[in-house]
Amino acid sequence: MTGLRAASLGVPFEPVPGFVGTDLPATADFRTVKDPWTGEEIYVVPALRPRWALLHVQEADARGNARILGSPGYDLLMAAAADQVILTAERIIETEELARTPELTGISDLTVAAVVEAPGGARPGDCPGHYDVDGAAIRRYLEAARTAEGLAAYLEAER
Amino acid sequence: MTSPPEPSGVGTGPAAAVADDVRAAADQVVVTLARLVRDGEVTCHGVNSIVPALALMLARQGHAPSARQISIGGGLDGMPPSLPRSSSGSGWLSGSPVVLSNVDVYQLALRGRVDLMLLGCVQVDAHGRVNSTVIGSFDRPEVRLPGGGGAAVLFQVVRRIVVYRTRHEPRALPIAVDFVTATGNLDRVVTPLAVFRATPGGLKLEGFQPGASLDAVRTRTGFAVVPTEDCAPVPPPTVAERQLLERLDPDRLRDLDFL
Amino acid sequence: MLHRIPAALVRELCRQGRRGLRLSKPSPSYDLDLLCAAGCLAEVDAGVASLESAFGGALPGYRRAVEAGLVRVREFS
Repeated sequence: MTGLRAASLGVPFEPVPGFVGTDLPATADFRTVKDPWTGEEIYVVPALRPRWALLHVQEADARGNARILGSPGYDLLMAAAADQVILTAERIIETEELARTPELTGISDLTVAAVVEAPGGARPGDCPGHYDVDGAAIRRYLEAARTAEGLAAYLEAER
Repeated sequence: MTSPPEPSGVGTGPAAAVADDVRAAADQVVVTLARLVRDGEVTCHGVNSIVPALALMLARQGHAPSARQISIGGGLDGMPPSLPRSSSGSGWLSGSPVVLSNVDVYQLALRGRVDLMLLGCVQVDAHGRVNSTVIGSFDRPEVRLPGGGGAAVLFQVVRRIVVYRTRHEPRALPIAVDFVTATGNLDRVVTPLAVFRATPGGLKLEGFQPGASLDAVRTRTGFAVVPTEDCAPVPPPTVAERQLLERLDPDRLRDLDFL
Repeated sequence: MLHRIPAALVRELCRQGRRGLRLSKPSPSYDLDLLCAAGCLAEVDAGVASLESAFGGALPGYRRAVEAGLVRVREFS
């Protein structure tokens, strides 16, 4: 999340609390700055701006205004941090339907480059209102991915 | 949400096939974690195991009815009709009046609004340093571990952290962790054999679980085990606790983490 | 987390044989593992990369790739 939030705010870096006494700062590009008012040291991390945010949502109109049902997870942050968004949606709905309750529309089409109607697009994970985690499918994936041949067959079968 | 979850295959398998000692360990760790919750605390749990989420539910249904439970799946004080199989699943939203996204929860913690978190770890040493990052070097590890998931921050902004292990073995409780993922407000460490309390002098043994002895804990702990003055056996689950566990997790999903 | 993953999109990236990608996601799971197993990923920024303990907890494709030096990790929170 650190870094993504800086990108979502359009600032070059962000201060983060914590990390003191841990080995993580040495492994990545952490720096420290002094708080300009108190003089206290705090870690800062650079903005992390992905080129694309790939999100699966329950409902979107054809332009990419999208409604997420249940927890948004980190999706709104990822959408704001990235240059552009690609959406898959369980179903495509009319803009008028979203316009009835616009406060429930979590993603606006302003940075959406493409929308794909893809029912089941989050499987084998869950999609609230549609399907739960499919444990058997996860296990099938894990088994298949043990070999390159198995993985190729899995990817073909899951088209 | 409105549609019922499909049978997911997570946790399917005959409960009867699980050995008694695994069941006992699972029950003991869950109740030990639950008993550590103080009434009124705002609590949260980590991802990937339902053990801490179940412990929080147990506490809320038992001695800590005013404790608040934030679930990683987004709910506040959710009370799902059956235990969701996934720790981050939307089943935890059931009965919750609000959705708290992962970002919301993280930011609540940053603002000092979370009193207690129950987190798993791979290693913890006597200094209360936790490792969930790597065994070996960071750049080319012998084992790449799941990662701290924010622990580096959470250990320093959440008032109390309780860490648990489903297995108690010397390399999980070493003299020094391979890599310091997180350090800070660690309060307790709970395992199937022991409860350690963080003190200024390091982790000290506060209790030993049923079936364990001081010697057994020493043998299976990498760091030197120093008992607290009030070190005592930890009581097994009470009748009331057993009944709650049976009601909240009748399929014994909790056993899976202890196999 | 297995929550509302853009799995179909990720599977298509794998089928297209994409290389050198960088994934930035606080709690990736199946998606990260698949990209690693398929050789698509060069870098990942993640806080916690895992599966539910009921599935074994670890992501085998991710672990293999990192331990072989094929994927660079930045662990953040």
